[in-house]
Amino acid sequence: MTKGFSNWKGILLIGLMGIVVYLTLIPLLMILYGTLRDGPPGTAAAFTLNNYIEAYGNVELVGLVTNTVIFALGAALVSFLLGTFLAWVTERTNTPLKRVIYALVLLPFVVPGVLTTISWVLLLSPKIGLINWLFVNLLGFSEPPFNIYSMWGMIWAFGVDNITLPFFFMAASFRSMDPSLEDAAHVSGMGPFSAFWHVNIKLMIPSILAVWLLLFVRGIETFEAPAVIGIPAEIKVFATQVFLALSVSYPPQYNLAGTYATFYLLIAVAGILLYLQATSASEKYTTITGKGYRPRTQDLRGWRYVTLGVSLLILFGVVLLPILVVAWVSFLPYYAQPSRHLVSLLTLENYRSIFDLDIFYRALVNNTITGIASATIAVLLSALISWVVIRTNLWGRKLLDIVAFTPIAIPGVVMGLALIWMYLTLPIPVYGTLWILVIGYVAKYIPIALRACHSSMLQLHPELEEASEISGSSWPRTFLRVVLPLILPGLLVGWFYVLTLTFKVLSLPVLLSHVGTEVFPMVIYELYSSGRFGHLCALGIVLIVILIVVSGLSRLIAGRFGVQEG
Amino acid sequence: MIQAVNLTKIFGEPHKGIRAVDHISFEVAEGKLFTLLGPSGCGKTTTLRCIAGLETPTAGEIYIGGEPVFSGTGGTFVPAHKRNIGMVFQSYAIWPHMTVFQNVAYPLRGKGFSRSETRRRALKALETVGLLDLADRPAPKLSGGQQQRVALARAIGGDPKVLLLDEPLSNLDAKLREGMRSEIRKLQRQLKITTIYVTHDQIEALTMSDDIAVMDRGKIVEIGSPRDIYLNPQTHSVANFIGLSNLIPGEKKGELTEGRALVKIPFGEIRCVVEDCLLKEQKFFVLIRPENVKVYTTSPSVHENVWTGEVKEKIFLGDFIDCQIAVEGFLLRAKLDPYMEVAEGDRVYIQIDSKRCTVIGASGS
Repeated sequence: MTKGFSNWKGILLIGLMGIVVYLTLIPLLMILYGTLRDGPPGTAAAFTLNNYIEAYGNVELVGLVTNTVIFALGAALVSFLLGTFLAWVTERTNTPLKRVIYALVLLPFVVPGVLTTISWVLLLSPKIGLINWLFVNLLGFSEPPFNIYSMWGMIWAFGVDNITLPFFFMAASFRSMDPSLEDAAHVSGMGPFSAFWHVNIKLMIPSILAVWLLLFVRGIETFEAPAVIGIPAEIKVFATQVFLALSVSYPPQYNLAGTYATFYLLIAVAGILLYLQATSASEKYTTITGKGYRPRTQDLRGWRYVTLGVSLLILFGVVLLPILVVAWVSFLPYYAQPSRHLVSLLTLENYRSIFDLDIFYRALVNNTITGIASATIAVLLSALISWVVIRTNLWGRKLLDIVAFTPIAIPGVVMGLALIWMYLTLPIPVYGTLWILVIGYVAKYIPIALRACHSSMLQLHPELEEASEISGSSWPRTFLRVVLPLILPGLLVGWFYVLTLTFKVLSLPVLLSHVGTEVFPMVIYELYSSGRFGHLCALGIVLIVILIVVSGLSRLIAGRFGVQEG
Repeated sequence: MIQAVNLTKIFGEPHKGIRAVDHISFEVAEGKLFTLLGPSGCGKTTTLRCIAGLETPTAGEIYIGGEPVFSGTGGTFVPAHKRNIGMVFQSYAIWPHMTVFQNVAYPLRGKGFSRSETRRRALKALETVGLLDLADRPAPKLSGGQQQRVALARAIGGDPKVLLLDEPLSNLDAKLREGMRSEIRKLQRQLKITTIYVTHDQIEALTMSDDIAVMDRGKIVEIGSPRDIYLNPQTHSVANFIGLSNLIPGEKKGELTEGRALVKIPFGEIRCVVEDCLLKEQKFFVLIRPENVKVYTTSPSVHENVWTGEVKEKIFLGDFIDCQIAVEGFLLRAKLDPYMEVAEGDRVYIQIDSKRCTVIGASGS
């Protein structure tokens, strides 16, 4: 008998490290390599610095960085203010109908970002926007007051779509604040405002910082609003520059796209590094302990109806209105200004015709297959990685954690470009198939699945595994029979989340999917590009219904598989 | 049956790390219950985990049934799942996603028993611990005491060579703990299974063990039967750790009959038992257990080892009175009969039976 057992863990670590490096770092290195070549991937080419000179040798770079940062910060501000206000209302006041507020805040979760952005075009476009129409025709404005095709429009459309994240972060932060800390401040002679500033705000600074950085990185990364609004408005940001270099010019300028992507990646990585810094700082504060405090709610007396009114108004404006306008357009026979005549023409024709489209069924099948495959692979890999990171004391386990987490900083279009480079160069025939989508989704969403696994694994008492080992079970049997079933609820949450993302996110498939390998976000974007609003909106509503069913299922199944506590 | 030789476990780097277990050796005979007793952090659980194979020792050897399962020099390491042992964990580690029966059957299936044989043995194990009627209950729906029994049934179900118990009673309330104490002891005798028991509770150690090893800071301080450990400890720290004790520095004045000696102590001279091996020494600690300090309000009829003193403090504890008596400025602790009527400030006589009074070598402390 030798020390085979610990060696075996080492092999597992090396194997996982290999897979993760293959999925994340190699593609990025391929991009870097590509930026130094003067020909497209897979061709004989020479080394050159021309791509960098072409991309950054003019003043455009400054504008590109400024636009990207202004957009990300602006959208973060909108999301943060709205999300924090709603979190404060539900967590710290006695405002009625909190459940309704909660449900509405969750709603953006089932609406693809590309659809929300298009709905803001339908509402705020100077030519066809319904709100502009209202202002001009009913309120007598001489010209449309809003223009979605502007930096403000982009900030607004993406900012309001992102309120769920700051809402949950800030709600958790409000909730986990020990009321005795406030009591201590009051007893020490601080007035309510002084106490709020010195205790509440100061304790929340780390989590506020963390939310901001996360929102900032999302803004840097997002593709939908820059593509739908920014491209026609000619507002250049990194996400769309990478895309345009590939899709507008013919032949595609792979090398140039890679050059943009390199700088783009640097900004996103900087954001994530700052975020990790901020969260590790926040762990020093003991306010976020996960202990179940019952924070004191403020009695607003009559004002609580005001806070309710404002909350509902916000949620109607930013959550319901976009869905309503999509629904409205989905019943129109052709796109036109509202009128009595138009109401009489409302029809189900759009729905009928999308169900007749081959592309609908193709997208449904493709999306289901790639979504389920990606979610399953990502979650299983994450479960193994999580076990190695949390349970072993092997050298290099932290490195594995970090490498597996890096894709959080890789914007979807960069990941897409990286995979194109890689599979046009390597003799692995996945380019143009569904497999390249699966590879992309798995790489991109491992960090999300990994967080879900980590939190479950940390709650699992190590003695539960040791008891199995003592019982004569080898490690694989222990992992399959004890570890996996016990972290299953966490795995399912991660699984469904990844599945949902594959139905929603455009940035990855926009470069990777082709004729025959379309997924839903891609179909919506293509319908938008060809101006088929009726079909687009009908498809959007169908997709929302699908996503509602999926998240309903996830709650049902996660509840069913959860271990009942005695 | 179980043998540990120079077992050492260092956490962290070999030379700078924490020596959790420091060159300990012991042997457990077939069918005996051996207890590792010591305060938390003394290395007892680490020792147990090394024997289980859940921890890889830094050095030393471990034999189970004569076979080496770990050897620092020979490079042998048998993983836990191949050592054929049963173990009860401090947290019980009952798998919450299985029923009671599935918990007990799991190790049997793993060991390759057929379905029917697994069923027979699992039910027998559940019967042994008195849980047969709860076989189909989901594990989380059990009380602490029942979970404890499931853990025990799971550990003994596959007839392991060795049973390891890691503070199994520490999560139970006092009443239940007392019941389980005798139950585990009875079960162990009935199955004649070689057992190592880890605890910080001296009552558990004294009532259940065949042999006790007292551990402190990674080392075994003393090994002996419960009777020896309590009545005749060899070291100052064991005397202090087990039970209450008066430890009085003393110097030998002369030898008496029946293995006794006359020892000079701060408040006079005392006659006490001195073991042969200590007869050569000059300085001792005299050990007097508080229950052996007899207190009288009137002059006692026996004249050996009698002093007078003043009651400085008394605490009524129900089954006895915990009392501090100053004898010529030296505070002596005594356990009094609860019916005895004394008050603080009373003058009393104290008397100590020379046969119930022993010494510990001053050098070994």
